[in-house]
Amino acid sequence: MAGYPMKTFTTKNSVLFIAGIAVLLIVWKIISVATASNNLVPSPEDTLFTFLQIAFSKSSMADLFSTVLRGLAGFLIAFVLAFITGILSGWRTGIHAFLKPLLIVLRSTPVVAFILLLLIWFETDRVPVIIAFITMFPILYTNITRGMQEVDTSFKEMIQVYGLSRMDKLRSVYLPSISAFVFSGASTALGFGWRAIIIGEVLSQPVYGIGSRMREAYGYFEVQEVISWAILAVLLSFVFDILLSGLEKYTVAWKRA
Amino acid sequence: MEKSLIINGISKSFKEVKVFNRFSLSFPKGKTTCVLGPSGCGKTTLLRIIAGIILPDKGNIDDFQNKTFSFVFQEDRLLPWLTAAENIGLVLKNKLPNDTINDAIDEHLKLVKMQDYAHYYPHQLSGGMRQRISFARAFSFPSDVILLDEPFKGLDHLLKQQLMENVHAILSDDPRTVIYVTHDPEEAAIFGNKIFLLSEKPVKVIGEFEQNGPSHSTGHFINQELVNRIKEKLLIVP
Repeated sequence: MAGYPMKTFTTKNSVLFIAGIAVLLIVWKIISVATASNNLVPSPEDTLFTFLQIAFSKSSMADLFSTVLRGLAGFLIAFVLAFITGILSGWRTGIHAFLKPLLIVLRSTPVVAFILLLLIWFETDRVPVIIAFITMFPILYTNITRGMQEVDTSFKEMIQVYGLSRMDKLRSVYLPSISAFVFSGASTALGFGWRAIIIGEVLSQPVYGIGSRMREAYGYFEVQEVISWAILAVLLSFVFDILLSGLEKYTVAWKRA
Repeated sequence: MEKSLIINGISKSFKEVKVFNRFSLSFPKGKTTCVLGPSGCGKTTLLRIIAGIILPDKGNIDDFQNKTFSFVFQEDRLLPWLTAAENIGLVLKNKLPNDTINDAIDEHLKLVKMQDYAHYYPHQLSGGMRQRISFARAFSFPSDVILLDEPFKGLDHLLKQQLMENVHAILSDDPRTVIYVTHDPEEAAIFGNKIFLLSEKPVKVIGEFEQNGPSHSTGHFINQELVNRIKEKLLIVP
């Protein structure tokens, strides 16, 4: 019986989630009917048809694959660098102080300004990857550093007394302690990252990419297509979020023992 | 070879509060020294200084430099993502030959009567069981000095009694240098070969007792006369 209230809560939330989608679709339908004369807002069913066409066409796969590859490349570079600098900053506050100006610049400068500068400096294909890195690095770094700072002092004292090696400290104490921060940082970073990559693609227009197709559809005034590509981007982000939370559950399997 | 480990003239202040002022104490090797004093007088700080977790402002703890320590804290301090056996194994890595670590874990889990719980995570164990694992970790570690900081605090009477008898038996079989901090005169009488009574701020030794070990009193046969003498001494402190 212990699980009963939780189950009720989850079921209730699922119903509310579906109700939320239904309300959005109804509002969308009402607006499309009201603006039917000028074709500005397509109906949900027409958009669904276009979305399915795009989602199952072979040429779209190249666009989707290119965007995913850019996202993963940007994420991987950002993650590795944020991991190394974050761990070091957690151990030595001086490194955090040294990196702070860079972080302030990365966090406060409008993404568009970076994109314009990068378009001047680099080939268009590389711009979205660099934008992905610029967007994700500060989020990942901040989370990992905070995780390191919040490692339980009582554990730090225990491993100091027992004289654990640096590698054992990192592997058995610090990494498990910061894992929640790493996963929450990765989830937030990817959420922002996908959006930034697509903005980068819209402006830099590489040959393949969700953003390039969006820009193209915009050029031809294909509203249905713009929305369909946007839905695809949302689904992409959603899939990676699920993958990440699956990975997180796997790493904290001990909690369910 | 010296027979005691000495801390000599240490001073330590936290902001305005002077906890130690030129404080000295000597701990006989291979014996259990109990340090008894009121809560918050600085006993835990003393252990932390000895273990090198914090440094004294002044004074000399040279005898403890380059020594290895086991520490049973007031809380179990087991890593929640490791099983009982893994928690012990982690501290033994690089300290014992690899092929003997598993045997050491099994042996010490048996000593604290936890051999059936080797693969349990801390959250699956009761407070008393977790503290037993913490003891197993400390005793299995090949340290020069074992530091015990009110290790039975927060345990209910029966559990405390069982665990104390367990620990007493382990120490009787394998006498090691133990520094045991407590505020309970009975615990001190059960475990202490040497007992120091402390007063607070700054810490001073106000009494000193000695009894022959290691076959001193157990949980069942407590040296009541010594307990009474300790209590008497504590009462006359202003």
